[in-house]
Amino acid sequence: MLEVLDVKFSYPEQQHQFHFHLTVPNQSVLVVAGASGSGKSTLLGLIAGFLTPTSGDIRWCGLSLLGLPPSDRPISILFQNDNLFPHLDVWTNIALGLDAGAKLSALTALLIRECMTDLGIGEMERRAIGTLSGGQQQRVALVRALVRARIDNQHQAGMARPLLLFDEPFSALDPETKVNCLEVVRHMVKQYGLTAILVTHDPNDAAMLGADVFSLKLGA
Amino acid sequence: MLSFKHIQHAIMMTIIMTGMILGLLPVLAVSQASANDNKPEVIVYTYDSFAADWGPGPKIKSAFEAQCECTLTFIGLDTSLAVLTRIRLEGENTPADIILGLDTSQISIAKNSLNLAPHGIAQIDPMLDLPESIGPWQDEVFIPFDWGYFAFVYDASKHHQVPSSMTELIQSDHPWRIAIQDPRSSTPGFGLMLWMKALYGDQASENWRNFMPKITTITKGWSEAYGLFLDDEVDMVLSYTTSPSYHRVAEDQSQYEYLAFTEGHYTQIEVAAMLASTDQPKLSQQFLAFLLTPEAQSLIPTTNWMYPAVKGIPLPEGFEVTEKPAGLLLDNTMVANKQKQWLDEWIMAVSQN
Amino acid sequence: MMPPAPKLMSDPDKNRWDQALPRRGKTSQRLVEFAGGFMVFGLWGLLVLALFAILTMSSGNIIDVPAKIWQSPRIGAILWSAISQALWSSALSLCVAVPASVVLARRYHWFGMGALRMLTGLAFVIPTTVAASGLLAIWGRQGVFNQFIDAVNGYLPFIQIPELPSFFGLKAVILAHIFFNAPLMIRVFLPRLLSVPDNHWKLARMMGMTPWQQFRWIEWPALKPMALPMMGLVFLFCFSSFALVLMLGGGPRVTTLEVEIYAAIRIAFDLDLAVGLTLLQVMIAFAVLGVLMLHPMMRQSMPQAVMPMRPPIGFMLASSSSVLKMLDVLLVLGLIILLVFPLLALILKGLGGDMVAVITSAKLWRAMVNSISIALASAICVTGAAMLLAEWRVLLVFKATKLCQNMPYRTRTVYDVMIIIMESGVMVYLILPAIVMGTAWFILLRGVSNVFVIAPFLVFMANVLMALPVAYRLLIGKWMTMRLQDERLRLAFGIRGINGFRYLTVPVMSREIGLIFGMVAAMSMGDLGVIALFASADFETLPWLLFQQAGRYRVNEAAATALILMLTVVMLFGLGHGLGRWLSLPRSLYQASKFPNHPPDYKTGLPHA
Repeated sequence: MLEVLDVKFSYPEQQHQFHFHLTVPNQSVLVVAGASGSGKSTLLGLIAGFLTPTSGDIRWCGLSLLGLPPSDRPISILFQNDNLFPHLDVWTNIALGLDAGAKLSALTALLIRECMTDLGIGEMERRAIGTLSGGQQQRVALVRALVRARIDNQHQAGMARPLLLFDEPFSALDPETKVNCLEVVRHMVKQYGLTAILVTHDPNDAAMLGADVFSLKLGA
Repeated sequence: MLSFKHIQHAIMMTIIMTGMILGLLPVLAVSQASANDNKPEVIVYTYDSFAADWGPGPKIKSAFEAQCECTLTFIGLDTSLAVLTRIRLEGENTPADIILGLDTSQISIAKNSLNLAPHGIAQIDPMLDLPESIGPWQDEVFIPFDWGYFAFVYDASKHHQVPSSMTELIQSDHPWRIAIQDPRSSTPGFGLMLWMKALYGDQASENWRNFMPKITTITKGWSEAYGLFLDDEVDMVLSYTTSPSYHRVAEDQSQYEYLAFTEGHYTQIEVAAMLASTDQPKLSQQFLAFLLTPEAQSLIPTTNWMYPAVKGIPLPEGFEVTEKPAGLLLDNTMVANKQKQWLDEWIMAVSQN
Repeated sequence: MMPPAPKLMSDPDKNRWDQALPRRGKTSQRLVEFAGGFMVFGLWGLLVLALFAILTMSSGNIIDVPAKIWQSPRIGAILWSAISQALWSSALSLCVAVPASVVLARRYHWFGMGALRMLTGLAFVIPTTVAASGLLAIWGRQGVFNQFIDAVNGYLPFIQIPELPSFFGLKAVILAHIFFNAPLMIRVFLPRLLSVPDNHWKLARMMGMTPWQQFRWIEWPALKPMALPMMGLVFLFCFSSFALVLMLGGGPRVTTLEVEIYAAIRIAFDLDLAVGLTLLQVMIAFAVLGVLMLHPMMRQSMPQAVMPMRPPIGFMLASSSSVLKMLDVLLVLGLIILLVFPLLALILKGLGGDMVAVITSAKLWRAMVNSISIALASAICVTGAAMLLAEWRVLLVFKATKLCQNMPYRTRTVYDVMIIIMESGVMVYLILPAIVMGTAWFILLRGVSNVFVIAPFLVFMANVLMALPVAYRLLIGKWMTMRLQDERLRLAFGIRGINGFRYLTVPVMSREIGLIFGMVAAMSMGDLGVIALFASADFETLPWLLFQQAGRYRVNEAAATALILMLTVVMLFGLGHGLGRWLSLPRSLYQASKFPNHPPDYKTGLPHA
């Protein structure tokens, strides 16, 4: 489980200090809602390792994450846009998520195909990102996160990353696609026992996911 | 309220307005060159170092203007041969009255491409003190005003063992760095090409190819090459036997010497002539005649650092410390006929690696 | 007092409603079209005149001339020299520019990076003569490196480090070309790197990419689209290079077509040869330019000259390892040696030279006045012309799209043809050698007046025509975008003509306007092209003076002159920059003086009664 314990942070140029304290139980989704500027992206940045808190601790299953670079943390993060490299195809985008040299074993390849079929983008390995719709692109990113979560020593020496961080990933999609994607997230979490934090400005997303809501008000 | 912003604005506006006023008057900047309206003007096209402040130009100008009731203007173009092409480019409307600074190798070429007028000076030859090899002066269009021998100049304090002949220099093992000039734009460069031709005839191209590894650079004109030598970018430069004289007499430095070749040195006799299209024929003739007077000639050794063409001009002390070398000179007409072919051969020999 | 009652629309005799309507703003539009058309007519006319003069220059048939060139044994060597030199220069510039851009982006916040970035802009406007002197001061026999080697050799007992080989020749030309063109490439590459979306860097951190992997997957793909086009552009510049090859080439072995054309005109006076070589040069340059322009990346505005304002985020750094830091430091040092040292050497040499003698010489000030007046005149002319042409181009697009929705397709092609004629008329001057144009016009004009009057004018014209394509390309991208956005608003509110220009166009384009002003002034100040044909001791420009002095008897004077020239160029460039800043200052129509004592009534906006 993820514990954010009394984490305080402020951006270098600003005076406002954010203060976060929350717990996310395993195998569940926490929806973090709040208005713009309340610190939702900041929270994710702290958990992911892009930002360093001035005080407090972040723990995953009892181990402190502070001091670890983002690549060493058990997280995968999804953004609202620019999630994929547009000059590479779908397969390479997913493969890079596992190994930045993109050298994969056969077992890993099978795993990736399995995840792709599972999330509904089965035959699209060689497609160029530019030819995919917004919803399909986010699904590719979701597959990448899913594969990172399911990888283990059986496939290749690698750390599984079961914690998913979503930074308003579906806000730019039309309502129908958004519902589909949220459904995919719910399926991922339930089927594979992952933990997720979904940041959104839409209060209805929690109901969709059947998840708890954590409201952020101006950084607390 | 006057704030810094306003001051900034004001400064910018002033600069821009000044710029615009200056910018819309480019031609005015040039017309400073014109002479008084009253006096007629004689314009001489010559090479850069002749017309420069430290060259013969200013002194000759004041000497001539004292006796002619006119204005003498030297226009210094960059290299000696550039003068020729410039006048050809300008065509009939050229403001030049006199062309000064070619040498005898180009006399026929100049006569073929330009419209020149006879100088009208009778009996030049008795006055002259030129190397014997050229024989009596018979040209009716060009007059000689100074002469010298080409030579490679070096710093004797840095190099003690030096070649004593052209062949030795070309075949030497020592990695000499030499600057020479382009024969297409510079009379010394042209002279070197003729020198090699005179020494080696048909083998000249072969010798050029062997020479090339030692040639650091080929400059457009004499000034650039000499500057590189003084800057110590090269060990030797193609110049004149009298260049060390400048350093001895004017700068009191005696470390510069020239390589004395046993085969002989190519001779250069610089000449001047009058254009047929001149608007001041009488004054132009007067100027050409003036060039041969002791008054003008005595200025030559210490400003142009060449031997005066006329007899009886004393040389300053330290000007000449060794015997004059043997002089070489190819026939003028042959040069005129063959120059294009020889230049092409030279370019081919020099361009190959 | 109440405002006067509005006129009644329904009164047919007294108030013709169409008379009360505002003018439709066609006047300024027509003015722009007329002026633009006149200018394009002039551009093409000058070109045609030049071609005509060139044809009369050569004695034989136009068919004989190319044949003569083909048979000349040297043409192969010339082409080989020009092409191989250009290929090496462009390839090596790329090899320098790519790592340099990556480091400059990665270490954006390091000390001195801002200065380095600014320098990349300057290196393009430094005059070639100045740069050549600076490079010689570093790499020449008496240059910094050799002196260092000599000093070290003094301490070494057994082996001696060999001196640097002689500087002149192909190596010098290539090095000088890298000096000029790598910064140009960096100015295009760096903004592209800085425009990579933030999230991509974050993804790279999440995926744990090493620096090399990050280069492979993110940085190089960002640069790749522009890499080959820029290399092609640099190839074109190097292929047409003149002053550098003349100064540093060291002889006929290293040459380009332009140098040969210069030699043919200035030295051999073989105008047939000049014409033939010009045709060859134009053909090759046209082919390269044509291929370049086909590339989609190059069809937008030319090198994006303005750096993005957004500072990059810290996640760009792939690793904080000290090995990477050392590598970056070495790369930055290398860049400094390449770009900064020559300029530093010049400054030191210039200050050590006969600065006093140079400053007090009248020759210098005459040359300075000549140069500055031509430079400012060119800058003003080109800025105005480029803006006019950009506006006209936009108007043509409007006409093509607005009017032709109802009209047959044929009418639209009329405008497309006009656009093509206009743009090619401007761009064609990029590939024509300035020397040939100068000579051709001179030959046309020499019957009219003598060289002293014509020459400065020709230098001015050549500068303007060579700079106009670049200035136009720098403006047109943003100008078009801006006007397309603005036009509806302008129509709706009737903002037309000079008002639109003054309040809407200029503030948006201020940076670009300032940039082209400064760039043209600097380029013209440092140019050594047409002046090489017409210079004489009475008409000199500062670069010509320097060219003459470069390496003469008065070596110290040359160094001082180079420093003065460099300072003047920088000052002119700064003037342009300042002009841009001044134009971008916010201006309000609110004039407090209209309401001296009474603040406005906030309900009606009218002053108190």
